[in-house]
Amino acid sequence: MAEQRRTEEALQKTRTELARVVRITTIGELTASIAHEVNQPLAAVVANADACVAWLALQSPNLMEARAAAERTIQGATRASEVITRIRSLINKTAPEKVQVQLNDVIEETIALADRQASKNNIPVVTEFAQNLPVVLGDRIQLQQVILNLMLNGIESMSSINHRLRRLLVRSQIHEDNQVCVSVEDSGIGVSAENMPRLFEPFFTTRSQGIGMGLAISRSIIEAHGGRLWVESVVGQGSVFQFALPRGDGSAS
Amino acid sequence: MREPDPIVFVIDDDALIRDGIQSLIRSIGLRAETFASARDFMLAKRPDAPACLILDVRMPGLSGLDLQRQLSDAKIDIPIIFITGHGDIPMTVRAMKDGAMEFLTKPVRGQDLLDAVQKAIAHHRKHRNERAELAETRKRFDSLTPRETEVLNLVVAGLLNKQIADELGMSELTVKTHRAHVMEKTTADSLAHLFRMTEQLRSSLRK
Repeated sequence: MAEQRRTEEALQKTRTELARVVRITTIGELTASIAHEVNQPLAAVVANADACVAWLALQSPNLMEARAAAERTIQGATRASEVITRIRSLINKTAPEKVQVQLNDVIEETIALADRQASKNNIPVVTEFAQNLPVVLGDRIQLQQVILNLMLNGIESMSSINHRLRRLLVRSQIHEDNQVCVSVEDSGIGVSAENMPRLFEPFFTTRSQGIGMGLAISRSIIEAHGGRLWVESVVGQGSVFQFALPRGDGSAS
Repeated sequence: MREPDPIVFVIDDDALIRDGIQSLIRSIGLRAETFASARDFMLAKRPDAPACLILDVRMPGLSGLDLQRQLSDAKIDIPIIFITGHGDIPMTVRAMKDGAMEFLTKPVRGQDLLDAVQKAIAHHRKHRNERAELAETRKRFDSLTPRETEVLNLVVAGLLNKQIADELGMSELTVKTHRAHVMEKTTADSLAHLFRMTEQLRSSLRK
């Protein structure tokens, strides 16, 4: 009997691992395809805007040509924004699953996923779990993606820090009795006042790699769950990204 | 004879990009012709002019790299400017090995593209001129009689008139006459010039 249980446990573990691998691959593929889909209209925008400027810069500017190029620029930009709308609706469409989720467990799982990235950068991950954290209603995988994204961003923001403590703190809390809150706190470079307003915009990124969709997608996931995602940051000290979701155990009010 | 106007061929399956690039090129006074696929380009009649080709590496159907290969098989030597998306490094390497002129990453800045176009056309023009010159030289050498060609071969092999006369069993005076004809027909203005032209023809035959 004991052996059969062990086998089942092992099988379950394999299934979970497999699910993780599939999930990560899918995120990677999604990112690559988004990059291509958006880069194409952007290339059209750049080519046509360049042409427009070139026609205007002539000794006797050719307004007809400039106008035609400007119109194609608009078409390209419209196409790019349609791609983004498609991505948004894709995310919203895949949000039907609403099950009871214990976020403490999700955090634990996510830390395991981010572990390689953290140890590669020599960054300790510390947790502070609220006891008796109420469950939330939502899509476990999507919430995991949000936490993973926040963690990877935090790790990235500390990769260039050498002169002071590097640490990632993931914390769960109960807010005002009816909100479950998860925060990811890093001691990285922080977000400049200049970048702050654009942080959650699609395709905004300060990194040379990455397409700047992580926070935009994360925020739309959290909002689709009836919650909110925000950031507090001090340049040179670090950032706290956190989200709050309504508790899902029925004892809300 | 006046050289025909240069022309830029643009192949991209995305109409907006195609039109944008074409417009940009026309804005600096160059001719540009667009094609939606590599196949269309291969089927089209191409004017005989200094040219270059702007090509997206990734296209449905016949890909940019396939086209590059077909052109090289067909001995069409139009320089190619490749435009690549993200992460096409293995493709880039392959195309470079096959003699691509330039690689630009999408989205391409207008000035970078125009610079590459000018460079590629200049390259092609130079190549065409060299080829035309060579054809001209070949025509002149082909007009030599068999006897004159024999004399020529011995001259460039470094033999003196007397040695050539012995070799071919003729008088030194006859050798001198043939030699004068060779110089005249090939328009060589010196022995060094004759050597140089002969070497050019021989190395073009070896290729």
